[in-house]
Amino acid sequence: MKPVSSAFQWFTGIWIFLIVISGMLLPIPYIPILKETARNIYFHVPQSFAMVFILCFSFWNSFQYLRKRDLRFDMKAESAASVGMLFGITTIVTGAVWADYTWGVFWNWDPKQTLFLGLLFVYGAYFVLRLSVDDPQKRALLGAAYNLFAFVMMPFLVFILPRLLPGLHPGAPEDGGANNPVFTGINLLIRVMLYSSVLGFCMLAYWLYTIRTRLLILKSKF
Amino acid sequence: MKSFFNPVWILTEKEFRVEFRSRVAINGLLMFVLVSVALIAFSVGYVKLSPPVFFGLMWLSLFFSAMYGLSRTFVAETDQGTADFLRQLAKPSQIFLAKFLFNFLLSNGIILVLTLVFVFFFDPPGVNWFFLISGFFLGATALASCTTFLASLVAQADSKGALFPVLSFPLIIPLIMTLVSWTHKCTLENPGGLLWEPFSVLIAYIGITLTASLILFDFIWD
Repeated sequence: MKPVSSAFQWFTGIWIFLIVISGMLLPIPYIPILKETARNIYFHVPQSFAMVFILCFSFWNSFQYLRKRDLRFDMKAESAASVGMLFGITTIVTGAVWADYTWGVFWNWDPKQTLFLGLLFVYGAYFVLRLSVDDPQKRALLGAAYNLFAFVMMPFLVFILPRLLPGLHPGAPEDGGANNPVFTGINLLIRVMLYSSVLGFCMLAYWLYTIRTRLLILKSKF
Repeated sequence: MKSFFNPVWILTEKEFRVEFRSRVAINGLLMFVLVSVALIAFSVGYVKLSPPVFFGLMWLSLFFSAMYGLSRTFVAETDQGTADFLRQLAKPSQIFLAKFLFNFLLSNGIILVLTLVFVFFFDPPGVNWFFLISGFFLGATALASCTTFLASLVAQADSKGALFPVLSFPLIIPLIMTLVSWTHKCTLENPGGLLWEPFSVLIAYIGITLTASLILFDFIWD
């Protein structure tokens, strides 16, 4: 696997730098409970987007492995899953700190929080399964099968159930039957900032994924 | 069509014949259910359980009993070295369907026994029994459809240990959450209309897991 071009590296670095600076300094509309912590939307939310983005790579490479039985695809799938885990953990941590300021506790068993943790358990189980098989081809085969099976269940964990069960996250159903919005009449500036941040974190995740894959391929040669 | 399903019936019958020859799984399961219920009775038996706690404990003991029972069909196959004979006899999808049918009947049996024991030992909350039992039926089906494929993965791993619960638990979280909300709604006055949402989630869950397992099983069984 080729390393990403240095132009991509510079662009990602400067982009993330600008996102962090402007996320901290640009004005943000006043929202009652959130207040200034609302800025976390530029960091907490894009990290979970980046996680799903990079897990799609993991899914695709597992699929390719099942088709072609080439161990390089398995290494790609593994490295993408580990980068996904990393972004999942940072999402949980930034979310927990945010929850402490706005909901009063680090963890309060909100469905989205709980099911997101469940998603991390899925990928934890993926690594445990890999550890418990010795033969590399068989490990790749079982890992790929579990990865594909788990990926098709992901919508239940992160997209469907959090919108059906009552909770504190935006998108959870309220008593009236409507789903509570993030920001009522979401501000254009927030929207632009959020999407640019999503782009930045996705590029960062992809960069990490290429580095990790090259490392695994190198390790397999010695 | 008839020729496709003929081996499925034969293999399912074989599963029961093998099981009733030794009766290891059935008796072990019965003891497991009784012991787990006794354990719950010792720890919280003296308080009147509210509906969410009652059903939460019930689904929990179902989950652990299922973890004990549902992986056996595939693990026994590799332990006794009969997997290769099975490969000669039938197509992977037929084998999978037979194992699924056995697990489906077994999990329905577990839940039947568990319900009777729970109703006997604890004072059950007033519920709409028709909807409750249809929920049990759907839950047992979903449990079997999710875990049968995972059992086939576990059977091929080298160190099995606690692998089966580790792989199953995160994928069962959405199922348990939906079932708890289903059974909780059964305690309300007129649950019919409210159950549409968990019902559609369960049907989608069963459909997705069965489809994904049937596709993926071809790859891992050869």
